Amino acid sequence: MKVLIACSVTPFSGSPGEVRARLLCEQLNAAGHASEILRLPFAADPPARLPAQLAMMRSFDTWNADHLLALDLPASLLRYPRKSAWLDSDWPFGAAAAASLQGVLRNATREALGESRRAYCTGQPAQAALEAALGIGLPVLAPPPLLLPDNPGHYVLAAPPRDPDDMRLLAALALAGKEVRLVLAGAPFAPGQVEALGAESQRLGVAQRVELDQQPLPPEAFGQRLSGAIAVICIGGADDAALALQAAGAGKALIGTAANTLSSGLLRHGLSGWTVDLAPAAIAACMDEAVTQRHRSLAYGAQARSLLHATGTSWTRTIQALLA
Amino acid sequence: MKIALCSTYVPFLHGGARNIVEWLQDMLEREGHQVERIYLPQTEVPDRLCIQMAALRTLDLSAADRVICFRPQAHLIRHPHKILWFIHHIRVFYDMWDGPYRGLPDDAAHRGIRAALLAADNAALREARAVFTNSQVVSDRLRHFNGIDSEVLYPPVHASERFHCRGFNDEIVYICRLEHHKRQHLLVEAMAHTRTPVRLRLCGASSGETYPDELREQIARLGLQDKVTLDVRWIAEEEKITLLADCLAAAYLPVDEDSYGYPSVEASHAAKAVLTTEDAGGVLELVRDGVNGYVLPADPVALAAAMDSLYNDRALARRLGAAARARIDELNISWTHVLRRLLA
Repeated sequence: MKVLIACSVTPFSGSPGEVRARLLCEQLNAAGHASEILRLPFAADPPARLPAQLAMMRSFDTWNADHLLALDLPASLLRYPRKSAWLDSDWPFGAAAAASLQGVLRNATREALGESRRAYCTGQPAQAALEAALGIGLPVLAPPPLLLPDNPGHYVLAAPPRDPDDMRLLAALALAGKEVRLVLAGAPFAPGQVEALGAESQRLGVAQRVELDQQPLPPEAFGQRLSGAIAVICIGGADDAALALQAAGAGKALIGTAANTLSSGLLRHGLSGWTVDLAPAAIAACMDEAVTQRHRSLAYGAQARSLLHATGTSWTRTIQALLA
Repeated sequence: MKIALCSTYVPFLHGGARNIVEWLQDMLEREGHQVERIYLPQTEVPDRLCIQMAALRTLDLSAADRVICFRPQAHLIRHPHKILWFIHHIRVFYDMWDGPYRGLPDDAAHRGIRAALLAADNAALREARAVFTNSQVVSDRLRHFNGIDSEVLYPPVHASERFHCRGFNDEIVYICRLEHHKRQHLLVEAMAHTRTPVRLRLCGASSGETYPDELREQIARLGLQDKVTLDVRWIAEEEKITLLADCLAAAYLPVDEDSYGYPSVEASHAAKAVLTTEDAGGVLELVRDGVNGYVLPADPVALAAAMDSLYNDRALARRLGAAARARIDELNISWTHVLRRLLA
């Protein structure tokens, strides 16, 4: 089957969904399908231009695919006779858009999802966000993990923060011991965020202990990043649920909030990782423990992987569900 | 520099329209530029054309320092530093409108769409800082229909140094998508008229099953199974290089194509003569009859005679092939030239 994977991108910055798109594309091709990625440029800012951007997505036409899989809400607006959606919650239903635009966004999304044969969320945070915004309860279909060789790792990995002004991970690193290193894997979603994070790391004196990717990472590069980590922080990044799942698949200890604990089912405090509040000092303490108490971190990672295996998540099952 | 390369495309169809974009991307990235490749979906259903064009006008590429647009209607994208490497019009509304291949009714609705398309194209083309084309044919159409002057910038192939000549066997090769308008069937028909043991190899993927089936049936009907090889699959680069290195000559005979087509340039890099036809379009900018190949009537008997003469006279095949290689330099077909002009 010819499967076209559609995801929206911010030009020169990529998108959180792009890594998932590449991974899905590889898995579809490995399963004997022909798959390609359609990257649709989309600008969520300024909010006043959103209606025109939504209309743009509705206006593009395509053909020559047996099935269209849309990986985010803007991309799901693309019309196609046989379409399914597999969504994270990355959509500006929040305060950024004026109240007058919220109705437009909701109606467009309802219409797009109504056209879809199947629609899924990547995790329970996305499910809750869509339920709150639209009153639509979509089933969860978690992205299966990359297949990575066992590697104990040594640094703490996180996704760049969703909020461009959120510098708490860097503040936490400044409070943590000097042996703690932080990798922010994958390009930030917001333009200019690389520069802002770089400047803040300089100001805090942690520039030598933080690595920040400039580009979206293909699956193999993301896998290398993940493989080298001793623990993974799933707090405030654009796609935390997916990150937690990948981390668990790689056998990494998890650091998250109580919300993560409840939603992903993979993070259990004292079993597969640590739940913390969002204060930099609390995050710093976890970073310290993850790096210095390596045996404990490895045991937590093994438990996270066991919890993931118990869910039965696999690419075969995921592809079957998406193409049903 | 942040450069956005923008083109429209059809998913799962690979060919020259993608190659020109992806090979340029590779060259720009080697030069240290940050490149965003944007393929936008587009169907050419007349009733949906205007709304898709409006969508292209809405696209926000303000993050780019420069955009380079290729396949229509990508040239409608707005940007203060827009460069066009224009590869063709939507031809049914242009040069094919008054011909047999229009395929649309000449009624008020379609005339209206045509007028709107022409007006939008004229406006968008004039927004560009510079307009390049892939052939003189396309430049002539821009001048004739849109009143736009442009510069021909012949698209080079990727890593041309890989192509080489190893000898001259008995085989004419036609390495190209198997599509009716590429006219592989004309060569098969020609093979029935050959008088030497010259062979023909047709290889490439196809967008459907019908045409390859027709070719199979034609080969069987003419009893050419021992002389014609039909290989319906995507040919990997290394295999293509080997086939061109060893072949007697290459063929490329599309109907009225916009540019010379990569198969003819690849063959020229391999120092092989190119067989083409008088109605092939842009190919005629590359191939000179009796100099670096043959430009023949679209007639199987004439094609057969040319194939026989190459088979009988390997020195001739070698001489034409050497001239084909020299023709590349004569036309300044190189990435160095392309980058210098696009980034000027």
